[in-house]
Amino acid sequence: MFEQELNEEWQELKEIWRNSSRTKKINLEMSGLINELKGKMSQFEKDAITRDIKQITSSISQFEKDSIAGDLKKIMASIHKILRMLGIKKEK
Amino acid sequence: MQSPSEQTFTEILEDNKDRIFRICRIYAVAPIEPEDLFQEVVFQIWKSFPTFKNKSSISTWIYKIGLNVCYSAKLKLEKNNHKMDRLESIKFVPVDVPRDEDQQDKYQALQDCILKLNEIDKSIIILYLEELPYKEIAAITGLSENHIAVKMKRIRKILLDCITPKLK
Repeated sequence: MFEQELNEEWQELKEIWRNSSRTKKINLEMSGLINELKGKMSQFEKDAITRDIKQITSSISQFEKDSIAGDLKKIMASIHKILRMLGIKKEK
Repeated sequence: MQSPSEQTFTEILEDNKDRIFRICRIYAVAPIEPEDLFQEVVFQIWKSFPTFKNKSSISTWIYKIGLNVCYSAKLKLEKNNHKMDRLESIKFVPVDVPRDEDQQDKYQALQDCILKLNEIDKSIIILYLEELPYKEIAAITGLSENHIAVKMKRIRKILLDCITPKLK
C-alpha cells in the first residue's frame, strides 16, 4: 500500500517534470543559428587570441629585461677582468 | 546549403531541445532565465561537436554538456551581472494554453527541492526524472551503477520528504 502510494507520487513528479518543457515552444531557425554560432565562435577565438597575445607580450618583455640584465652583468664582469689584467685599478 | 556535419548538428538540436530546456529551466532561478542557459548549452554543443566521436550515445553526450554548462553558465552569469548576448535565431514562444496555477506551484515545489540538493545529487535526480536507466546515469556522472543505486535511495527520500508537504 505504502509502496503503491510512493510509486504514484513518483509518477506525478515525473509528469510535472515532463510537462516543464511544454510551457514554451522552441523555434530554431537553423541556417541563421549556424551563422550566428560561427560568428560567436570567431569572436570567442578572437578573444582567446587577444588574451594569448597579451600574455605572451608581457612574458616576452619580462624575459627581455631579464636577459639584458644578465648580459650587462656578464659584460661588466668581463670589463673588470680585463682591467684587472691590465693592472688598471678602479678609481676610488 | 548546410554541410553534412551542420545537418547532423541541427538534427541533434531539434531532437534534444526539449530535454535541454527542462534542464535549463530547473537551474534558472530569477533573474537568470532558462533561455539564457539554453543558448549557452547550444553554443557549447556547437563548440564541442567536432570532437564528438560517438564513444558515447548522443543523449549521454547532450546530458553531460547540458548539466555541466547549466551549472557553470549560472555561475558565470551571476558573476557578469546576468549579461549575455542572445542568439536571435532561437525563439521561445509561450504555449497558448490556459495557465494552470496548480501545475505551476507543483513545478515550483519540485524546483525548490531539487535545488536544495548538492550538485552531483541534483544531476542524478534530473537524469532519473528524465527516465534514464542507471547505466546511462552512471556513464554521464562518472559513478558506478551500484553507487547510483545507493545514492538514489537516499536522494528519493530527501526529495520526497521535501516535496510531499508542499504538494498536499
